[in-house]
Amino acid sequence: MKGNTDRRRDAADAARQAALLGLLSALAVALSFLEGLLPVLPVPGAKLGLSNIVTMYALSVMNLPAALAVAVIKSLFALLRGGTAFFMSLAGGLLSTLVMAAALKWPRGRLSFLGTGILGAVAHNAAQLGVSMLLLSPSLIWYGPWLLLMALAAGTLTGLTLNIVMPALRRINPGGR
Amino acid sequence: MAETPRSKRTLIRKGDMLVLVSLLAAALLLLLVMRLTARPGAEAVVTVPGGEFTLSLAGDQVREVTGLDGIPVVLEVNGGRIRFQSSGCPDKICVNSGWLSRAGQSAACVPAGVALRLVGGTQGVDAVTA
Repeated sequence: MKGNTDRRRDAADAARQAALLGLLSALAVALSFLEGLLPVLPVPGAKLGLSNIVTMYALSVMNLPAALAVAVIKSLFALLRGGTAFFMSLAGGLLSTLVMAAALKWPRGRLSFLGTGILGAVAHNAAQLGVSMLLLSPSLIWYGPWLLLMALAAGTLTGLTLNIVMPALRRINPGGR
Repeated sequence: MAETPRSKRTLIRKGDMLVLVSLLAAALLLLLVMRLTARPGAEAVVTVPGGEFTLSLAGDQVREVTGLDGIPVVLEVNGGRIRFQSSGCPDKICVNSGWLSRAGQSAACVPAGVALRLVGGTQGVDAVTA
């Protein structure tokens, strides 16, 4: 049996988690919008996946379902840009989140957010390329190496950023745990 | 806290470098292989709603096609290269794809349903498009 204090703390914790999820989702949407203002990638509809930084943070301080929720919510906003954009965003978001979850877990302590972010960005672009090959033309695989290079840049950017700001975020501790 | 801060807070760990260097090497190797195996394209296969046709890259020309929803798309062939010169689509990703000149390259205008794919002159081994 849980006491009243425990129950109140649970409720407060749940509320805080929900608020954090909303905050992170909004941040992911904003980042993917900003990213849309950058020069386009050669594959139609593909994005760099800078919002991976948000899902990576969600994986780190929350859990996998929360991070997947952020990715899905972000994709719903991509619906505004059409069905193709939605599927590419969804595929990229889900695959990169899963890969980053595995990367954070598996070689315990050997990868920081840098390696994780790079793997996530590569997964993101690979999924986007895969979807565009399915929806458009298999010959788009020609862009694979270029997308890989861009993923390395994007992943390094997101990973290093999180490596740098994470200590500060831990002090603020917006998750409340 | 979900995670205790690590005692040594390095920005880059050995594993990170391993990931970065190996993927970078893979990308460069792939680019090199593509560079060595790519042949100049001889013609472009243009996919439009309801079919496809080929454009020779030998002579310069400008070809206008009508895409989905009546979106006008202008293709330009110049000096053995081809590009989306203009398109009535909202995002202009196709136009920003720039010039294509090598066999195997492609670009597409999704909103208009128009895609370009370059193929080699001689019946080439093209594992990519097979």
